[in-house]
Amino acid sequence: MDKDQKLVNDISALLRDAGYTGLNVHTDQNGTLLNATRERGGVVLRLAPDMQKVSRRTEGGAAEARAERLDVHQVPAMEGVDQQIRANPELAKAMGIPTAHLKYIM
Amino acid sequence: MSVTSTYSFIQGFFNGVFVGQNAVSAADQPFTESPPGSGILVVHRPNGENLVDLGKVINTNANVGMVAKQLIAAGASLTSGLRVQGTPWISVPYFSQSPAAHKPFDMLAKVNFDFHIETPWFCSDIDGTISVFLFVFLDSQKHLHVTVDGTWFSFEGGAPFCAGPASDALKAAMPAVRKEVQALLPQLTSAIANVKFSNIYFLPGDGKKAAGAFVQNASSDASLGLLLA
Repeated sequence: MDKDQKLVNDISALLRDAGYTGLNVHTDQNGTLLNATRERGGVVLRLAPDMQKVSRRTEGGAAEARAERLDVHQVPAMEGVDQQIRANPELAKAMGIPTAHLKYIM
Repeated sequence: MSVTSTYSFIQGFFNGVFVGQNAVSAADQPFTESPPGSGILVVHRPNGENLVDLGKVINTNANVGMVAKQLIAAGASLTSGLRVQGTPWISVPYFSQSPAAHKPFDMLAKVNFDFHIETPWFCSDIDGTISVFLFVFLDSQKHLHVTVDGTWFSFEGGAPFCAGPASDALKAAMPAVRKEVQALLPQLTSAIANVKFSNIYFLPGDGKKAAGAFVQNASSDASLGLLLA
């Protein structure tokens, strides 16, 4: 038996013996999470395959995958701003442009 | 009546509170706009400007209800209205995944809303924002098109153990979000499907034309100016 699975089974048995109910064991790519409650108390345990600090902010996303090319003739745009930022890089901050993106116009 | 609008952005370009000042003239004028060198954008708006207040079109009771219903089905709740904001491509969070997809200062419309997820007792609750970026353009026949360009979510909370599963669930939900929004877009352009335009530009807020000063929020509303071909 996988050592972690045995550990989960043993902890589950210990929790039940200690009077905890509603035992929930959830395994996903982030590891295995066990939680249970007893009256007004609770216990939670996490087995992590990869120790990572939890960041305060989580984000993600992507551009739409496009199968066909759009017939784009004209787009609303702010002309001349890139020249202004090159002349005055502080403007980028005022415009809320991420620093990592600036290398594409400098 | 033509209008010269001067927009002073206090919290950044097309972001947050701004002060507008409109000067109205009986004489017509060609469309021009000055680059926002010092956080001030001056737009000379001709007589023939057609204005589309995107906030008014998108933040409807029907759309808010649809989003709220989808979020409830996903175990979350809607905690804001639907906001619309003009944003340059270079400021879009997924820009670095494909920088050449647009020109850096092409403007996209960011439609976003806030959500809340109640988590199990051992995690902090989650509060975040889902954004759908719309690409607006004229085709070679000078007709207006609006399409979903991409999606982004961000949230805080979920510590110590619930942020990962919530992130996975949001990533899984994004294709459905894109599909729902894409289905709404034909309504935005159906009334003007056969109209030809020569120019298209973004304005912050509702695009007010009345003379005088006003204060609005560029993070919650944006408008499109369209000039007939």
